[in-house]
Amino acid sequence: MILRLAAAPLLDPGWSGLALAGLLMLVVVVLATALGIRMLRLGLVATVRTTVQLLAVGFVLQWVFARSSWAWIAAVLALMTCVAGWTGRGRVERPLRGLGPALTLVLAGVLAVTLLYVSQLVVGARGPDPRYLIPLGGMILGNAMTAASLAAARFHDELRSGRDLVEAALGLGATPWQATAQARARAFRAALTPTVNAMLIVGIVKLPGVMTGQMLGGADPLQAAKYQIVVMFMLAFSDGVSALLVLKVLQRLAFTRAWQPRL
Amino acid sequence: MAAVRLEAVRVRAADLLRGRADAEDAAGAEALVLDGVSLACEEGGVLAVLGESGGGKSTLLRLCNRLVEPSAGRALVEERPVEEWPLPALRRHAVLVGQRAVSFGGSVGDELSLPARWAGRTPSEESLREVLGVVGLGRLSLERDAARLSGGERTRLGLARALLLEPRVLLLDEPTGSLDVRTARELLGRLGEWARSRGVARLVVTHRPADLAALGGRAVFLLGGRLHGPFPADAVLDGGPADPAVRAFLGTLGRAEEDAGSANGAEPGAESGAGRGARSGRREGEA
Repeated sequence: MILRLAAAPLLDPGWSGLALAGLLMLVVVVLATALGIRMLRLGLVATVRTTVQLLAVGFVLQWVFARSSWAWIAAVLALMTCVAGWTGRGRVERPLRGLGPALTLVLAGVLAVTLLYVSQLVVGARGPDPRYLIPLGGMILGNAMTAASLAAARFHDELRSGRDLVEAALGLGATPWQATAQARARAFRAALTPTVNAMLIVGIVKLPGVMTGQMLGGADPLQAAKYQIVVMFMLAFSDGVSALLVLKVLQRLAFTRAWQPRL
Repeated sequence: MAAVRLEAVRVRAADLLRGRADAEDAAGAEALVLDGVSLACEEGGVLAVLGESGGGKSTLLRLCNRLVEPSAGRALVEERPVEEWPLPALRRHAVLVGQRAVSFGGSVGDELSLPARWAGRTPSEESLREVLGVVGLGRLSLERDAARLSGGERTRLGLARALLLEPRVLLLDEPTGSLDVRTARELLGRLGEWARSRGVARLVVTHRPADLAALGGRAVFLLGGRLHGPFPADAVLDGGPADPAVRAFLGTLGRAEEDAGSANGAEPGAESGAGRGARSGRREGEA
């Protein structure tokens, strides 16, 4: 194990602590209402949804954590992948047919490779340890889904607005790959800009989630920093590769077999 | 042997949109864009295509290098059905230059040589100079930023780019659209010499009958999805052939010329008026 979590126990807020935290919600909602801002309903819904969703996930993961089997971890990650693929497709306006399944498959592939490499080799968590696989998997999926859907949306936009360019290139004997070079480069840059920007300011403007969580869990700050570096590289890899793969698949979906544009 | 041939081609609007992600946007998809169109253009020959705006002229050109599939009938290049051609080879053999000038970015030299580089060739500076000369841009520096060229210069650069591929068939969609009458005539004249000396066939969509004088050859008219002609270019220029539909079409062009208010007596002026009239008519059609 190259990096090791310090196992100092984190204090449990307990159900009473949860109730006390709920008071904070009550205070902010009451304050808003007192000032004549009608946010009561929304505040209630947000409070209930946060509580229910997180407790439900907590229960499910508690159950999975107690088993530590590849099958259960894979089942949870597979469900998350399907939701991510479906959500990502929803972020693209008037998508090409087949984008949803393509996105899901790309995310599944990137998740499997990245997660196994990082958990088994980089972090050194041997075997099906849900404590590493589920949180890392969730981070990979969330980020890769954002990057892939940004790439897909921008590619669609570029092909729609640059249709003359693509047709002109095809008419001069370009392959679809050659005809979409510019659109692909722009889409890839658009997809990776948030990731790169985050890498530039990380630790200076804000302390990222993994590092914060580890310090709350009692870890040494330097060790937490190392973990965060691993996470940043892991996310850059999964974002970049999923954006590239989605663009590769899209460029097949965007043309007929006779190289006629579908957008 | 015809360099390019269409045999009883029909194209339904619905088939133009099939497989497109935006197909639900289309209205009137059952209409026929082309209805039984047959034509042929010999090696080294020229066929001008005139007709109503939105009447399928661009679709007709796209059939010849398989950017569009016919719903019925077939398209042949060198008497070989286009589906039997390997794809990049077909589109380098029969090159399409679209209506709007398109810039791929970079210098004039980059713009010119990109399609050749797609084909895995690096054209010599001499060949770049030669094609620039054909389109009347012989004095243009190869290092110049292509984005800074005027609209007319970019149109001509787009044509030069196609010539560099040494095609056997040129499919030109309104190559003179952004040029004045005199420049258009000079361009078509030099292009004609270039093409005849190499035996290159030309299918030229144009909205101005005046281009026929410089193009020569024959002209067809695409009216209501049906093809009329071919007629010798001279016959069209001398008041129009006997076909009543063609006469009526040429008549509307003449009226558009009067509407444009530029009938100032001199013949070149009248020609340019016809061009402008026809073009403003097309914009209404597109709006």
